[in-house]
Amino acid sequence: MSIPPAALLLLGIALAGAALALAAFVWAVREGQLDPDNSGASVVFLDEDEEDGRE
Amino acid sequence: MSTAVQDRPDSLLPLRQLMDERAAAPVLLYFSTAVFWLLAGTAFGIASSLKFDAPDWLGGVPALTFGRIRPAHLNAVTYGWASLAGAGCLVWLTSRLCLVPVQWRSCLIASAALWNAGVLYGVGSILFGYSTGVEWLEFPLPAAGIAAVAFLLFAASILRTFSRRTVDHVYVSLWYILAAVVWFPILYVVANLPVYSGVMHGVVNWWYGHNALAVWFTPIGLALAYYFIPKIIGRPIYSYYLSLLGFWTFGLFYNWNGVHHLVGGPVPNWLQTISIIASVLMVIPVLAVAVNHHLTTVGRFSALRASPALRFTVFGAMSYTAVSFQGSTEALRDVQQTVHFTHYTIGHAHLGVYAFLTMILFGAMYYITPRVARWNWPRPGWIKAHFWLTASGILLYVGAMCLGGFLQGRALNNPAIPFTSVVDLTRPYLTLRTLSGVLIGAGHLIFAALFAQVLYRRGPRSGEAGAP
Repeated sequence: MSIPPAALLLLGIALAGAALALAAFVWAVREGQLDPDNSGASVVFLDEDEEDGRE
Repeated sequence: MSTAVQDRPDSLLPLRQLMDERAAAPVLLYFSTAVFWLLAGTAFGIASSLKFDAPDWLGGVPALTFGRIRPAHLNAVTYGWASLAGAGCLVWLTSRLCLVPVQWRSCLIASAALWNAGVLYGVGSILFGYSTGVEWLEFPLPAAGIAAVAFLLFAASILRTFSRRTVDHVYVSLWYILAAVVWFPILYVVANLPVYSGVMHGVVNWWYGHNALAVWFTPIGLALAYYFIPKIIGRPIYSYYLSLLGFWTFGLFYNWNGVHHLVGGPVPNWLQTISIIASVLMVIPVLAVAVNHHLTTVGRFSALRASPALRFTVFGAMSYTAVSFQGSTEALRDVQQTVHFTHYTIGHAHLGVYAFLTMILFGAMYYITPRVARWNWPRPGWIKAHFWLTASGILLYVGAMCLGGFLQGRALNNPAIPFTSVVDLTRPYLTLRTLSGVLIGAGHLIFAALFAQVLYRRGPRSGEAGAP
């Protein structure tokens, strides 16, 4: 059974995409982006937007 | 788009004002063209629905037959409305989360122009009979090529802004944005390559169709919900760590789901089984989002009354939970035996793209537009009417289609019931669908009128950028 060239193309792209995602994950762990201290949650308040969205 | 403060040196401006000012031109260009496609797409949708009540209506005009306006509806609302509105929101949100003004604005202006040209070319091709016939990928190659360049230019600007960020921490919304801008252009280009045939073409078609939701529309909706819910309520996400777990499991599971559209079809069984398993595993990231949004909002539901932006966003976030659990069960073979090829699927699709995504986009636009346009929303009563018309309309839509589709599926599986009786059985539900389309369409007209008033600085209320 031969593998169609389009399938090989898709396989290559899928593997490259997975490698990219894995690299991003490793980067995030090394940088401490995924540390379980919840401090990142306050980033939404850094833009000093004093308006609170009320009518 | 010019404002009174533009002639002052940038360094004197507060950062927030500077970010909004730089974002204004591209964001308003994306938003205003998105509103145009919203109205056009809604008209195609209502006309498609009416044809179930009056099959001969407009049947003599080839461009307005069902087989053309139905895909025109899908492409106008997804690539026109939802994608353009989403892109505008992401431009603004990326700047806010990176605390740096939007970079490479000329890329964004060119992107918005090409995006619209691509969608116009594509939708026009569909109406005049040049559709590829591949669902979600109906645009002929030149139109798809123009759209692809637009997506790439958009992604380039977002990534440039991200690379210039002054905040070290990558907030959960920003992870979703990065996933969307890195994955979607690749997905779109790969799926449009003219190299597939046979069963593989079908698999690639639904790998794309589902991933358009998985790596484009869902990350847009979740990025906005993860920003606006804590922001407007005024307290951080309940369990931030859980939200990050939700993102990475979302990335791991969601892109395997596509083949569940082909369950029971001539596709290798193992491929179907993998996609069913992945669809059920989606329960994990969905629960992470649902638990977090609920526990962040709980006790502060009164804020929904005060803020229209929050009201739309929370409606959308709740719909995300509903549509995802529905999708996880819908992928199961036993459920597919009944609901496949019925109106149930159409109900599910609208729970996702409308009740979840579009409602969140409305919420985000209610928050972002006055800040970039430096003009308040006039007429709070109209905003309320917009919410209740669209919310009741979509609930009626999803309820009618899912119930009608379920009964239709049961009847189709019963060989004792003639096919014409099954068609008759669905008719009241299809009339309810047309009615819901009229409610939703009325809401859209109100929204478009409100948006135009802000854009042209009309209306009884004026003042500094801010409120709603």
